[in-house]
Amino acid sequence: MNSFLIPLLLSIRVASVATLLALALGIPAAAALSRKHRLISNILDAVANLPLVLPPTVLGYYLLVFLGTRSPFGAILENMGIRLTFTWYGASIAAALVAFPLIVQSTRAALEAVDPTLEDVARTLGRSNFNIFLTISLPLAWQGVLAGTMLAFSRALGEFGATLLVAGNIPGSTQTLPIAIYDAVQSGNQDLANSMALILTITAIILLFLIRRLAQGVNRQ
Amino acid sequence: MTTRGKPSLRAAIKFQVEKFHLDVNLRMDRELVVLFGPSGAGKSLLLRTLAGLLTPSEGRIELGDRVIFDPQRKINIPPQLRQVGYMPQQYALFPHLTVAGNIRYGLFNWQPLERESRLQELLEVMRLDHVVDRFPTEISGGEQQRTALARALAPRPGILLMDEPFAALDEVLREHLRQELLRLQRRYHLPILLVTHNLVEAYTLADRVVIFQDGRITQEGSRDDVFRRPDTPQIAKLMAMDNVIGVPIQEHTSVGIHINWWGQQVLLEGQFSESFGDKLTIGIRPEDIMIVRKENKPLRQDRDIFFEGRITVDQARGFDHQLTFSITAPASEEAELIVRIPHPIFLRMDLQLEAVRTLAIRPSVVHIFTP
Repeated sequence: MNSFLIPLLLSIRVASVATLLALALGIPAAAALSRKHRLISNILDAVANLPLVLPPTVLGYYLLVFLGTRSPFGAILENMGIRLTFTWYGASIAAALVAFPLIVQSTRAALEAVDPTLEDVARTLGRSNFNIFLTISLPLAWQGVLAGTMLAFSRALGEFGATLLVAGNIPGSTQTLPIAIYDAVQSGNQDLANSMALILTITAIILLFLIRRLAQGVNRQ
Repeated sequence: MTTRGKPSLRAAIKFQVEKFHLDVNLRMDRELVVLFGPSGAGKSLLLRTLAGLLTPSEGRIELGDRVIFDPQRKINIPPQLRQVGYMPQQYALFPHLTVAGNIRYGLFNWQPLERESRLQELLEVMRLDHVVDRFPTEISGGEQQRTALARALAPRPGILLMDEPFAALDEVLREHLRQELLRLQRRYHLPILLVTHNLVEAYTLADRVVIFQDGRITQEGSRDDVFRRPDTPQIAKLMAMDNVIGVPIQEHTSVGIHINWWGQQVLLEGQFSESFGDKLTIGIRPEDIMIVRKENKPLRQDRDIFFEGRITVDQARGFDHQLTFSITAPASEEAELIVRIPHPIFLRMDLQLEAVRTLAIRPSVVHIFTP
């Protein structure tokens, strides 16, 4: 029983932190993308979607090189006493990177669906663009943001490739549920693998069901 | 500081949007100006430009004492600081805010006490007290319109721009809210620039009508000016002056112009300095033509011009009928006159298709287009 509880709790912690990270970066990115500056928008769009297209191992490799102690950035962190590689922080960053495009896409679509006339009126009423984003655009796009958040969370929960490369497979520290499944299969522990796979499958189904309900709610408006 | 003498708005702007060219020179005082024109003429574009939501390529906009746009002096005040009330088509109420939330939105930097008293004042003036806490989808079309108006007026703008404010309402409500808007304008002397393509609306509301076609102003003046004396046959058509007729000139004397109107010698009195050539274009509003009752023989000594016509088209339009008469006498050629009469008169005069009647036109209602 305990053998999958520890990876499960770790997975939830990593996925939660990853989702928050992806939200913090994804909402501003989506806001920038929903503006109609074509060149900036196209470049940002390509960058934001890169994690969807690249294999997770490639992402993990880049992160390992970038965050590792031999990179200048990693060295600075090391001097400050912060180590990201082979810790659960590193696993969260890897999962956040993979989940990021899902938040951006969903939020962007919802922001673009907000009637621009509302924002125009708000401007004539004296509000700054940032203030309008917080009081009009984002509140009206909340369903899209929430749907993106749930998608991102499920994706972060199942992250394997990038996480393994950045954080390794350290039981109790970086061994998340998907990695624990891999580990269990490798060591021939079929029962453990079965129960863990089942947990992930059920979680994914519940989340997808909630997202679907949310989308129907949006359509009804 | 005097505000008298200074116009409320003075705008001279040029603006190229893809293939569309806007070129406008507009001046208005503390009055209600109706911007009238066909759809696609660029009326909404002009409002958005004045509000600062679009930037024209060149020109100058002054609002009261302030220059709000002048690229030569690098002035382009953003919409946030223009103090322009803007009411777009369909109102664009914030759907996630209540009526009170919508009205308060532009008062965010007011003192809380002043903000609440301003809100109460507007709720009272606009008779919205009973829906304060409702959301826009939960109130009627008229209440939505008044909420949008209250929201635009709340921060005390220097001018109010309204884009088709009555288009989404039914006819009865429309008439009612028009009167309310007029009362409001008279009370606060707020300059209002209102866009419409509804003729009745233009006529009932306007201190001044500005005709807008293809991105430019083609005529402006008092409502009777543009209704009775349109500059061109094209504007006449917009103003529902449906009878535009070309007639040969026989003689241009000091008394007036003698024309041959479908075989009749007619004198249109007046001094005209223009030279018309040998052809005159005249216009008559359909409601200015009288149908003479069967039993009343027309009196020739009246100065009226008489034609005899046969009804070929009867278009019932609810309040009135629009009848097309094919002129049978005295002309021999194919000639038509369109006549509008109120419904009860139509009923009493026993008018059916093919009925032949005498039409009377007073020479004073005949408008002469100057070339």
